[in-house]
Amino acid sequence: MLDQIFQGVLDGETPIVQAEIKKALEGGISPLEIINEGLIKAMDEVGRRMKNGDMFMPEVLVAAETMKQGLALVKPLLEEGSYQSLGKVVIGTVAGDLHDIGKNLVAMLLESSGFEVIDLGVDVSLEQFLAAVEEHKPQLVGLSALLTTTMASMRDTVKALSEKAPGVKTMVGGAPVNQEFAREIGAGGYAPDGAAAVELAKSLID
Amino acid sequence: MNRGMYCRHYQPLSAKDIETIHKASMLVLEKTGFKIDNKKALCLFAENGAQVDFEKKIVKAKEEWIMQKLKKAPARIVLYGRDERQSMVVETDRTFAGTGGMALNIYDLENGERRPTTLEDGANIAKLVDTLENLDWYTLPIYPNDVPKKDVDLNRFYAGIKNTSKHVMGGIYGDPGDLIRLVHDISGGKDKFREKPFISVICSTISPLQLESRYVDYIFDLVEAGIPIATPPAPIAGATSPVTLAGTLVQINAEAICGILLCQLIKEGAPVLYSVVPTTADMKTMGFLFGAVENGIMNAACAQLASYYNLPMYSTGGVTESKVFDVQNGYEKCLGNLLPALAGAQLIHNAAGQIDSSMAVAYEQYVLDDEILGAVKRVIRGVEVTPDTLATEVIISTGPGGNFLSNSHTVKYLRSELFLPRVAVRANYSVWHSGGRKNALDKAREIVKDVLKNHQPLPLPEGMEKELRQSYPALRI
Repeated sequence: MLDQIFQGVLDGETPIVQAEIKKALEGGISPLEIINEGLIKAMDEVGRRMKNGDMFMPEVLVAAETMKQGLALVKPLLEEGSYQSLGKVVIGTVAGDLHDIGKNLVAMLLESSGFEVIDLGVDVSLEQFLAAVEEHKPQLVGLSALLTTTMASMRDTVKALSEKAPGVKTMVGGAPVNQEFAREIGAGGYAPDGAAAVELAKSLID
Repeated sequence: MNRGMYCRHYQPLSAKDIETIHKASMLVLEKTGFKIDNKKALCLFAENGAQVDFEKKIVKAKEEWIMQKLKKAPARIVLYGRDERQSMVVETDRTFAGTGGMALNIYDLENGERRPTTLEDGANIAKLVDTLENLDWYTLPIYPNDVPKKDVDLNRFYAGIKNTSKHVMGGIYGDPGDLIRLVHDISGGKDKFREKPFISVICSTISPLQLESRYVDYIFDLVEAGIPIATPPAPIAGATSPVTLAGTLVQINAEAICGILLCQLIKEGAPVLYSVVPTTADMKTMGFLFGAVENGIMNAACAQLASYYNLPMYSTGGVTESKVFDVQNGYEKCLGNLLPALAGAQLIHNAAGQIDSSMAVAYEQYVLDDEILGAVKRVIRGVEVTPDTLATEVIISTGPGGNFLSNSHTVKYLRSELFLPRVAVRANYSVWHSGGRKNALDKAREIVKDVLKNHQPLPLPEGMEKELRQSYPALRI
């Protein structure tokens, strides 16, 4: 059954995964085992395949969505404190920028890799980022920009975060952004694509 | 069975042009005829009603007679692979791409130095082509400098046959007797071979308008053995044919028809290809050009002529004059393959691997050209319009501001709708930089090394290799 859950996530077959989870639960397999040995294990495999070029981004996203649907089924059954997310991430596209496809992709991949993600959407002001940090107490804030003109907002936001919430790490991404810019503005890290963003988030939180 | 890809997007000749060129070729064959330096063939033409001048060794014929004989040639030929899934159904408007050449040199995989080709190169290239999905068959591309001339044909073909299960085609340098016995043995007898011919042979004709004695003898033997034949003339526009494209087309058309006529007189219905290698002379030096854009246009026009006669065809694709893996290499090869493919040219040989006007080959070039051919084949496929590909419902349900990234429609079509290159650099700058700054050539080299180390072609039936080596002591691998 765990094998079918694993395969179902890889294939992006939500109904199969949900049915197999129900069977597994009836068969006495613990919710935690279903998560770790079925769902998370499958997403690790997805990550490997994506890196090798055997799986493409839309297929990864469908697998991620399937994983999420499966997780929603098992999570309420967990004992308090038995399952911990990898960490909490606040994410958003910076002020003046309405582009969200890259940010959404990173959010989905982070979520399916085991992070708890609070997505603030697009055109997120400096104040909104600060308020969200105050409210959710994340370990990490992810900032996205597509326009070269909004890179200034990114710079301001990162600066404000490092002053007002020094314990929170930042990561940045988006077409005009690169490693040098990230270093220059004092961001905790830069990731060129979704898969790299997950790896970066893991390493920043460790 | 591989049916090839249907295409006739690019049509450089109008219907009237085709008719005009046909009539002009017929006039050439009636007034001037062609020279065959071979008594047996001259007698055959005379017996069948052509006008033969035995002293001048010239055959002339009228349109009616020619068209009547041409109709005996099959409109469709199946070129089999050892693996039948690789077999090609060759007919009008169906495109295939394959290798070609007679290169004496190769760019060494390890140090990039140009060196003489060996039999091992022939075996290795076959193995490589076996894995390249945009190459539909394998034409033997090199001359093995390390094999005595008398043993070259047998070894060249055997190295190819052993290392790829795709159809193997090749030119010959001497009497094909041993080769014929070898392939009949591999098939389990002459009749079995004839049913599913897994090799074909190229016997070139000489422009303008000549068939060479020795090769005519070989054609008799090959036709008798049931081996499909290509008889390509390779006129050089401005040198061995008129400088105008139309003039070269008139001549090459007449020459292509001569080869078909000979085969049909030897044996009615013999599998033979309407074969062309139109080339161009460099007006600055009178050097021979294999990568000129006009060659692509003429190959496309010849595809139209082959369709006009309803004959299976052998054409010529992407070669480059460039000596290195540079921009010229890329654009000449792309144009040279794209133009004939867009016209539905059938067996486009020379489509991969060659460099320096076909004087040399390079392992990496096969992978690079396979990628060009993948893109070319994508172009041929064009836009598929169906209710499902229109995706109207998907657009409506996604709505303004949504995205299609994780839509099941995207997942369903992404692999078939979009060409996925293997070596093109598509990563962003930082990923490319941190990944070792590899370009397409570097990636192609990695693929070659991996294939040569790990790929196992479909083996010959158990025990056969040993038996063949005993029966044919000249075999060196």
